[in-house]
Amino acid sequence: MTVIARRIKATPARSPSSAWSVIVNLLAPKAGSAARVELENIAGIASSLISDEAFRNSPAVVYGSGPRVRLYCLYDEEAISGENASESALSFVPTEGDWKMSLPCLAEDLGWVQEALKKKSSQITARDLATAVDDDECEAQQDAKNLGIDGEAFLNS
Amino acid sequence: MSTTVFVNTYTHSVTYVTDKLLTLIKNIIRLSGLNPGKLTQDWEVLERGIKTWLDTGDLEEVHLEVFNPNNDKLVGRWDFEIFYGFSADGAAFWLDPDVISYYIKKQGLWPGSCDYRIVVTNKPSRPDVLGWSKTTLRSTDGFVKQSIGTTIDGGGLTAGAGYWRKIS
Repeated sequence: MTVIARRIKATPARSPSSAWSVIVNLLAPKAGSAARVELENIAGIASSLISDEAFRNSPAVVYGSGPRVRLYCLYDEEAISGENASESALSFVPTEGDWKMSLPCLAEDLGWVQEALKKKSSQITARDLATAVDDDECEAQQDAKNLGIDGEAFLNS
Repeated sequence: MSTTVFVNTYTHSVTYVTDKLLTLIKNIIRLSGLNPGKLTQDWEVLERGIKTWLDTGDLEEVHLEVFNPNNDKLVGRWDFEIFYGFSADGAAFWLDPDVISYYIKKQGLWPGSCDYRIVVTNKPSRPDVLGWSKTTLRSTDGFVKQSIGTTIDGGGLTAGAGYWRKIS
């Protein structure tokens, strides 16, 4: 499994909603794409998680058809200096094809955040930030894709 | 309470205080038994307004107003009063959420049927910001205000909190 990480400057160098805009541009650069609309629709929820510094040590994770992408945020001095920031464009679009996103969330906020996300997105969920995204979950999605029946080959056999 | 010290600009102070004000308000809503989902729907508009008016020095107070939607009467209110100052070198940035939690526990939960909104008090000179409109705060007759001191310090730009409770 290939993993790519990006570290985005947040407070006080950038507001949480500006940091989320940077993440949206990385994940779904094409204006008007379904994935971009979905990511923009949850901007307020994601901003509140960035504001809680949930992205400091626990990443948002995008997985699906391509390499897994981990997104952290930098805060305080690290955000201002930008020394550890990595915000360059990805060489692929992680939200093309089948994709899912898991957002880190403080345990005490998990209930209402999951409820709010469910109303706005079928691809984006939240997890307790103390919990890692299960490798099996990502691989199961990849396996399911790989196991799809090649209809043409089946009919031709 | 966490404190961070670094070389600062006023823009950083504004971004920090805006961010922490919204975080504190979100936590008050949740700890008081209401759903912060509504707050996140308006997050970008709230952030834009508070940031703009802190930047111009027009923002005086941010209010979380909780009311009964059936009779439109005030149920409770939190105020964050802004104090303008700035320190560049070695500026301390800190947030004290624990003191807020203490007072929320002291005053108890709001009924789950309550609604809430965010209102700001600005100087008359403030510029207009997209998504914001004029309004009037609900009457605080029968309530008394308790101040609890500074809860956010963004390098000299600070916010002091207080809440209104019903006179028993």
